[in-house]
Amino acid sequence: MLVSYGSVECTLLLHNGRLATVPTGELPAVEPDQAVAHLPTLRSPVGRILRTAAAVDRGAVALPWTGENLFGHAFTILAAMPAYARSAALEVLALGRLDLLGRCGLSPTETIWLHLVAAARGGDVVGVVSAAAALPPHRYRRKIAILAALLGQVREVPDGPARLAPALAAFAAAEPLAALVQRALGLVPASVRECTDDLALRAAAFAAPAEIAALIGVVGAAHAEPNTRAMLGNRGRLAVLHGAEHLAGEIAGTVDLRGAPLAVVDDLIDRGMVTDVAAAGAGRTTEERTYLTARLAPERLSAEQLDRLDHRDEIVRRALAAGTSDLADADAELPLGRHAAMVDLLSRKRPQDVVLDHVLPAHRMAARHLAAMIGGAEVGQEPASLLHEELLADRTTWLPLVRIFGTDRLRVASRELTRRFSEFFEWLGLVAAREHLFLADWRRAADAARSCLELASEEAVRDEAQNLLACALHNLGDHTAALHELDQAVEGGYSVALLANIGVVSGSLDSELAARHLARIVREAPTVAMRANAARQALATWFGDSTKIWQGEEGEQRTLPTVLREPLRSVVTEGIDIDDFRLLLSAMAKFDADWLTAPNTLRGSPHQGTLETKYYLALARDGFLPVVDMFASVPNWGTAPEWLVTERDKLVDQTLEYLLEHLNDPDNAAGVIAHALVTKVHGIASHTETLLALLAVASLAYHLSNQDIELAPAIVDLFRQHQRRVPALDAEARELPDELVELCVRRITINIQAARGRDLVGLIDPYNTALDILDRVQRGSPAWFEARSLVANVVQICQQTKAGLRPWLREVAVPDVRESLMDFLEECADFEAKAQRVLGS
Amino acid sequence: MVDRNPYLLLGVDYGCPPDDARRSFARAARRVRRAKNAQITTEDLTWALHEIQARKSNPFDEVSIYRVPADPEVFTPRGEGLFAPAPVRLPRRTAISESDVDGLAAGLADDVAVLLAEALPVFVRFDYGYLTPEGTEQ
Repeated sequence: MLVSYGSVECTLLLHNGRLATVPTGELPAVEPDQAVAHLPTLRSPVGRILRTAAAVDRGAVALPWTGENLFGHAFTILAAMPAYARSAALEVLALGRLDLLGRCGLSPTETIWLHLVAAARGGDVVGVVSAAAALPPHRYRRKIAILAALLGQVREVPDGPARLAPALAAFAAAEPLAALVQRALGLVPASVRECTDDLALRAAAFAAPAEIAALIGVVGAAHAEPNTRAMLGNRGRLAVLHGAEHLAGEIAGTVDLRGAPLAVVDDLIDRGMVTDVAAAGAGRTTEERTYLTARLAPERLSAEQLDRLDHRDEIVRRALAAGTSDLADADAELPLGRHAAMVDLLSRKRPQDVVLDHVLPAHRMAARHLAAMIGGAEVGQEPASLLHEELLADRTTWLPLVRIFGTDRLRVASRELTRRFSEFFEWLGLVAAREHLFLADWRRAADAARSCLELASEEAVRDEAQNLLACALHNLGDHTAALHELDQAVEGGYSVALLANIGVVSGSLDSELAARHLARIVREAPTVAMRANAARQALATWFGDSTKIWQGEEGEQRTLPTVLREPLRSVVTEGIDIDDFRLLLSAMAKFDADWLTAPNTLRGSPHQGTLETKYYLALARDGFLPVVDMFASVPNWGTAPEWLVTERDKLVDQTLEYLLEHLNDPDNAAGVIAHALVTKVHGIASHTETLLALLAVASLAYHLSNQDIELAPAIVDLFRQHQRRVPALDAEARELPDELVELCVRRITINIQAARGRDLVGLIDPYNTALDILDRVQRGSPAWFEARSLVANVVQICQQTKAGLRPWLREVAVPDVRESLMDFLEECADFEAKAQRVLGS
Repeated sequence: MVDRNPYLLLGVDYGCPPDDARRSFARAARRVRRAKNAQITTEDLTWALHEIQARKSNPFDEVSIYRVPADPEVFTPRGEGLFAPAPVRLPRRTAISESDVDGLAAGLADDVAVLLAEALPVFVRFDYGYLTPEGTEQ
């Protein structure tokens, strides 16, 4: 290993660690050292061994010696050659081994200086500050330049300014950069001007890019290239915008005004550089936003905001536009106050008092023409002939003209005049038509609307003229023509109002047509309430037309017509009013039951879980029993909605009525419903409940007797329960219940008698068989006992039959039934006696 | 009249608020009195006023009364002029101060300072101050 290299001799490090000196000429050829090949030229005699040592330390090469062993030899040799100390330091710095700088033989301060520069090169600002602060304050002037170059970063180092203060103070008087750094670090106060000058000094001292140098100072930045200005932040752009009006187009839209002083924003507004209220007011207080809105778009402010701002001119202007002539005294002397006073005089037909100079200059000509027109009319001239183009160009005069002269006097203008001012006269026709409608003067209204249509080309005006004409025609009874006008008007542009009017007019023509148009409103109206109203009216129209067979109906069964079906289905699931929901549901339960009862049909409706839904779905399910079950689910009828009570009572009344008329029908459906109503539903009036119960029993008894089925005991119990109530009823109210009780007794008796008769008939064959057995078998045998038991059963059944029927015998009033029952009981007694005798023998 | 239309009877635009209808009542009554062969009576007007005042729902959701006008906008000519001058912008109530201007300049200076802080470490070469044979200090 070559440790040092001289012109005469070289020092070699041997494998045993010892040094050997050989003449330079005897050295073998040097192999290229790959580990250090990338480094600059060797500067010192120990350069090679330093690099090799560093490579060993890094593990880049493997040698018999450690890195420190090699460094030790290198610095030992270097100690003998102090002239190479700085060269060796450069070698160490090039190797990035700042830790070895102290072994190079330099003074401590020079070593710190090298650390400072190395830190600056490496972007280690904390290292720069530490080294700069560690150097003697009065020495190493070049440290100031380094600090000035890295000023932006140095400022961010905690305690940096304080630590650097002595060094900066030491050079401040003689070195401009030191004073600059002092100002920049806040060690001494600085004006904005000084800050700008300091920027220029730094840019010049360090040869900063020309683009950045060009941005220093508002004037400079304003004349820089647009791409260069684009490098600026928001505050910089704001300063340039404020200082250079010619750049408004380029910069205005890119500047955020949030932090800008209000006065600066005012400057920009005055110069037309800021026009957007939202941009101007962003991030500001309510008060500032209101102020800036008043500066840019006062028409957007409310009356309260204007009052708070005390913006008198705008307040007066609005009062004038609204036709209010009363102004505060303080406002009378404002330009707008004087203008308003003149306008008021014109409105009151006092042109002689008008001082034209008091009218705002922009409107002086219109005022002059209006004054002349009023004056001329007063001396007998026709107002229409005095109309002037400059006056009519001001559309704000149109309504006052009508107020002052009336529509009739203005509409007598010549054809030539009408053509010249067609826009005014088409509008005048509209106003006249409306006035005539207000007076129910339909013919003149129609004439005026037609005169408007002759002139008008603008669609909105034509549509309205046709609307007014249709109204007049409708009221004159020509509904077809009215509908034609409305159809034409609505063709041009969609209008809810025109659509609604079509519905009104078509209602007078043809109910199907009306429903068709109303269905269109149901589909297209902008609000749910309007759609619901149209649906309600369409339904009413449909219900009101009992003769017409509409498309979509099948045979005798009335179903919703196709034209109504889909609109109603769509609106019923929306957030409509509950009353409308009930109305639509009631119709659909009858006429669109299949759709209504399909799964999830009403899933989107907010009324999905209501009583309305439960009731009408039950009704739509084609049966009264689901409805009764729904009624049965109502726990407290005292708090039930009125409509539901009505529906319940309606069903009760219908059931009563039907049963009273069909008591002798074998069909028991109504009886089953009546029974379900009585036994399940609460809240039915006591008297009604008793009638229902008795009718139910009578109906069921009749039906079951026809079917040879015995009444369940619960039915008989129900009869007894309500039979006991009858005596408590008023005499008048008892008549029908008494009759029904008698009927029930009769029918129950017949039913039970028939049931028992069937029982006894069923016993005859077993009884005869038993007699036969008793005759044939040995007494005491099992067959004998079995036969006797059968006969004993006959006795028991006969006794039970008699006991069960005797009470009914006491109650039955109809002779035929009574006689039949007595005969039956007699037969029963005979049967029993015969059986008793068999048992006794 | 085919359908009694309370708004037409009172001579007000369809859907006008009850207060407006009330104010129009006297005007309508006067108009009816002055009109020759008027087909409207004071009783009609009273009925109409009651209809409008008793209405609970939004008239613009109704579909049973003819709407006059269908488009109220066309009856009110828009624009600025003698009877409705243009809105008046508020004159400024602030004055620019030296500190405002300084603030703007300071803002610009800060922006440039940031640019310099980013650029200088890249452009400036920091040397150790030693001369070397090749004249550099790599």
